[in-house]
Amino acid sequence: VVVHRDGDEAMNLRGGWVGVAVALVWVGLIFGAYFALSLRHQVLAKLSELIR
Amino acid sequence: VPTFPLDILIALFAVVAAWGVGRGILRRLPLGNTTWAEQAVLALGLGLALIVLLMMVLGFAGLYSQLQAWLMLAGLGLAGVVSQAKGDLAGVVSANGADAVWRRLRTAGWPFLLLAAVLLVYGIGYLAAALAPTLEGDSIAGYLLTAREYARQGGIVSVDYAYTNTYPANGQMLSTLGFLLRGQVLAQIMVVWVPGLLGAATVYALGRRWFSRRAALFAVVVWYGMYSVGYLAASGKIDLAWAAFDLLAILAFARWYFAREGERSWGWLVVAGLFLGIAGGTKQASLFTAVTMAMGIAFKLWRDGSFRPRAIVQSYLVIGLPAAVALVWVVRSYTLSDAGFFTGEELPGETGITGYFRVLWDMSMLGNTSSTEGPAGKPIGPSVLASVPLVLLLRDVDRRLWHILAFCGLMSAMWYFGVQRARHFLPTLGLLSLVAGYVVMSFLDRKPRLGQALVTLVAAALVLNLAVWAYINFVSIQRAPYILGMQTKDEYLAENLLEQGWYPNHTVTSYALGLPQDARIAGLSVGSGFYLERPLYTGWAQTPAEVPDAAAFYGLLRSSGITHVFINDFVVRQRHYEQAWLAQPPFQAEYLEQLVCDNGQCLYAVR
Repeated sequence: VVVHRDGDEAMNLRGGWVGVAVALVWVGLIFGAYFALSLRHQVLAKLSELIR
Repeated sequence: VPTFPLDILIALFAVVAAWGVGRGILRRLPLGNTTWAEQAVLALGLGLALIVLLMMVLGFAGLYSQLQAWLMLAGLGLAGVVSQAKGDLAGVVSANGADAVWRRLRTAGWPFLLLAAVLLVYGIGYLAAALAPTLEGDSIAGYLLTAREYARQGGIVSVDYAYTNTYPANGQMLSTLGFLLRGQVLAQIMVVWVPGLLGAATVYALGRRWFSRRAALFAVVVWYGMYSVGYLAASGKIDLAWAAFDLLAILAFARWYFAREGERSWGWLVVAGLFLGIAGGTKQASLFTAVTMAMGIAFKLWRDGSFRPRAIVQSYLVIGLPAAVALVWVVRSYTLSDAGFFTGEELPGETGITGYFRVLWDMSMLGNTSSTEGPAGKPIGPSVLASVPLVLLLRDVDRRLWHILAFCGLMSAMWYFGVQRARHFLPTLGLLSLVAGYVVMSFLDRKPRLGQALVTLVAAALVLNLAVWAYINFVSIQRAPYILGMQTKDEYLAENLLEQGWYPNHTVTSYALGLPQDARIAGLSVGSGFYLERPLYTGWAQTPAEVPDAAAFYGLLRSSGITHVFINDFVVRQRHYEQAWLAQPPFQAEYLEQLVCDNGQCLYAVR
């Protein structure tokens, strides 16, 4: 079982705020792509099917 | 009147009986301490494994009947009660346990309540999907077809018109039990919904043991909410049963692998072997798990300095002997065909190094190998891909995480050279979901806003996925009227088969019910003959280039015992069968007699 040490330096991410920025960009890229592709291929397709 | 409550009640009885017996077995094994979650999943897993083995023996002996099924279940229930009476019943039903769950829910915080709510909706949705006859292609062309025929014919027989005839059939042992006890809906619950929950609970038990309750909950929701799992939940396929048993094998193996030297119990290897045997007899993709575990054993022995012949042979025998039960199906496959294994060589897939990353991307976005199969695949969603690489940003990572990632890496390499479909990767995806859970929980601890944003995005992706899944399974396919007792099965099929251009429609299936019992129907391709109730043999797409003479082709039909022919114009167009003898009007006029035609689908009698 992992024991996190509150307030410890080791609690932070690698690279400090750069690490946070990298995480944000990566997460944004993956989820952004997923939502965009889903919207295009699944949601819009279903909507057009409903309208027909 | 809706009939599903009875199906659910019988399934619950089967689950409780299996769990009771499994708990009795579990207590007799030298496993040391186990968490509540481990006990629960191992007990149910062992009980279901026992049911599978009993059904296998009875099936090969040709002893299936409704009475046999009820007697078996009653016997298991009784054995479960006896074993509980001797044991500690207080540990089974505990008011404190319910209190603890409630207390945790109240103090969990909104991200976890949100995830728990999403999980609950998925669980209920999957159950509802299992309560109406499935229209999933592979199920009605193979997996459910074999199970129904085993039940009808009183044993494990050759169903040579089902494409799954030579595949291992441990999964079908559960669906056959469902058919014997009551019918198709119970079969679907037993082979899909119950194992799906068991798989999810096993992911939880793994996470609870090695990480934290919160990481475990996150992993369960991500895994259970994958479209790939949802697709299977609305089918009669065996992949969720396979995933559950394979995950249980991994759970047991991890207890051996991560134990300190000297504290390792061989009992865990026996349990891992047993579950591996049941999983390998359900789906041969377990071979990858077995190979990776074999490497893990060698690594651990080497690290401990006990890499000596005696220790090696002992360890491999302890896990290998119980796992060998899967070979029963390999032998059967050899007796029915020339091959013992399914390799999936003919399936389209990616190649090369870049192909590996393309598969991971496609599988996360629109569907597995969507660049070769099109976007209508069964994706796993973005959560794993978005979260797992972030582990590189974490300091002070639990060292076990690297071992788990190494396991996943080896599994993914083998999977890539096998069948590149998410459903062949479900147990590893369970582990990767756990890693994702660990990462997200670490972010929640270290950078709460980033962690909360991640949980929100994951929940949003799960809700979007649920919406698409629910639309396909409850709007495109109208299940609700049947489930609620407002439609008979016949009316349900009449309405819903209309939308499924690939399968025989309701006019054809209704007419086929009146054909002689020994009728044999030939078709071009796409079996899916479950609702025809008569054998539909595919592969009759020979053209004049292969069989030059019409009379010779007619002779071939007759000598193969074919009495009827089914032609689906939609399939002819989609698969370009215009040149096939069966699809040519002059051949039809001379050698076939039209019996019924509707909406581009015709059934003929061979003259």
